[in-house]
Amino acid sequence: MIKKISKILIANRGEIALRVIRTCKDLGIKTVSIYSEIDRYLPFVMLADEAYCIGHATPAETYLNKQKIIDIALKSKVDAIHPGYGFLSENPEFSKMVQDSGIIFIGPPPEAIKKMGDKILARRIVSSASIPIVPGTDAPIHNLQEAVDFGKKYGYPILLKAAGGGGGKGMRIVNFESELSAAFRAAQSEAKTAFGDDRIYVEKYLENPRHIEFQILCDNFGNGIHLGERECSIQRRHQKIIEESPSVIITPELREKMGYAAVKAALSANYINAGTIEFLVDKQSNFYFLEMNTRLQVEHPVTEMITNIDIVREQINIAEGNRLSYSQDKINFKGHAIECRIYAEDYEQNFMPSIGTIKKLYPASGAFIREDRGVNEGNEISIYYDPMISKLIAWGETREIAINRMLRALEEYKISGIRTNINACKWIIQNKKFVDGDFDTHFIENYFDPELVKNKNKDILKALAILTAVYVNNQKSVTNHSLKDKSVSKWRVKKFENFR
Amino acid sequence: MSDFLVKIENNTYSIDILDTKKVKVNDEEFEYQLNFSDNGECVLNFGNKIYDATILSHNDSLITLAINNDVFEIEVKDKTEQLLEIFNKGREEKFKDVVIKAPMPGLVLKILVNIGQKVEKGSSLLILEAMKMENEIKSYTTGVVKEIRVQEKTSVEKGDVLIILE
Repeated sequence: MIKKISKILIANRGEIALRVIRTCKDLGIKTVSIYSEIDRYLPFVMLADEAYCIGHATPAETYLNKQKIIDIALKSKVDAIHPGYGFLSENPEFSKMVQDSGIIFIGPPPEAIKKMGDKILARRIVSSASIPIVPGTDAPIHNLQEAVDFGKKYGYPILLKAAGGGGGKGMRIVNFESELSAAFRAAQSEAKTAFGDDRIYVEKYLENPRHIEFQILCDNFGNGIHLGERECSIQRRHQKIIEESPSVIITPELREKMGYAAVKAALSANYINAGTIEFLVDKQSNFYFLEMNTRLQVEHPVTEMITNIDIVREQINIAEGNRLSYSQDKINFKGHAIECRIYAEDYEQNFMPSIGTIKKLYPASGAFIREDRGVNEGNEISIYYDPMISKLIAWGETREIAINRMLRALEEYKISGIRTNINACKWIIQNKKFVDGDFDTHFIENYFDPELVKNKNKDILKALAILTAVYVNNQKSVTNHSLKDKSVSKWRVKKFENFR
Repeated sequence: MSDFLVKIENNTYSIDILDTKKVKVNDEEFEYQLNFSDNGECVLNFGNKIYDATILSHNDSLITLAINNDVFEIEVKDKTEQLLEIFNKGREEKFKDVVIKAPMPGLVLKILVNIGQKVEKGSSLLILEAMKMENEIKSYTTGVVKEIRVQEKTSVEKGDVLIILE
């Protein structure tokens, strides 16, 4: 049964909400945003056709508030809900509630989310489809002793993982038995806060693996295709920073083999819509199924850049009940794409999130640069949500050209008011190991040194000495009349006049 | 004595401001052009380059400034402050306390040290939960825990004093 979608509510915020709105506009579909009070000035609220405030700030009262989101969807008469990534995107209960309200959920059916979202169940399903998996406990462990036993059997290092979700939360690598008890407690409590589910399972930790994932699309008729791989090995605490496609280690033969396994894994769970199959690949090019993400991924733009396929558009097409728009032999990969995730974090302080108002933002642009950004100058990075500011994507005919373009874009990009990882990204993409394609998931911990990132060139230091001396000198002569207006900066007043 | 003594990244510069176009740095004369706007933006022409910086904060003699996505903390002392420093030299306490502050608002999950405990540079002091992540607050110096100002399971604001080392 085909049902045309003409109005969509986006149950998310920031850049991904805006990303979905943009495709909707391309397709002439009306959009509804929901937002927390503190997100009121963000572009995804301004650019939607309709916007409804859903609560003050905490995720629980806003973007995780299932019933309220459905109430707004019904009130605004949308045909479908797009969940984005994070929040409710992998919550089978929500997907079910949406369906039961007579609204289309743009994503997999609740059963498929349940199967593949539960990491333990997913391993069972995939392994019975004879796809290799990393050794691990196939059920959540009940106590510390089971983890200790696992460590004895398979050897260290081992990995503790939350059964309820991903993104590096509730995850700990344990190198020695002596570290296990503290790590177990930390993983449990983090999993509980992040997903409301403190179940943990254990797996053997592969050393020096590469993290390579495949984008897949499946329709309601049992058809599945893959859109190639994404290399996501540049990560910190399991949080990806730089992604690219294609991966330098994937040969056309291996791509075909892994792509086939990815599609087979998805179809074996009766998966529908867009999803991602994550693999770990070792030095001998053996690949192991890691997990499936039953949602649109943060890093999907790199795939879009080399396939020229709008993945959100395909998601909507599948959700309407149509067949896939492409067959596997029509998927062609052109050139190379790299994405840098720009985070509000301080690389000099162990990548601590940096909150505050974005005082200045000069974006990067120019040929073959795409930017998916959820905030503008004057917006706030708050403690309530993920500190990602933007995704910068560069395309080139070759990897070398793509890297050079990314460097050009990062050099153009200027943000002040909050700390960002822009210069850390700049350092990474110029590092010889990265340029040579010789890296694994430990690249950041092994090679990254904040001391190497900051530009302490003598000319800059001298210039800054002059600048600050003149500044202090000027301040002295104007101190008296500048003091009275300190509470509200003129710039802020000016900025917010535009909204009135 | 020069007009200003500027300390930045372990370098010291003596600056004399001659007029709005000329400045002396460590007794060498340079031309410059510098413009400020209300919101702390500044554009400096110096040598054959243009520097575009933002003044983020100015407390006493400490200026925090952003340039090219890097942040610098710069100490600027005028003549009075330079004299005061000379006067105070030798009178300063031998052991100076180090204050560890919360870098962001959050919830103190666990305190990992006890009063009297010796800590190394990089030792974890406590775990602060913010943005759904557990962040380890580390010591940036070697010292002994003198005071713990917070309790587990309590919220702190950015800049709140967490732990004092001596």
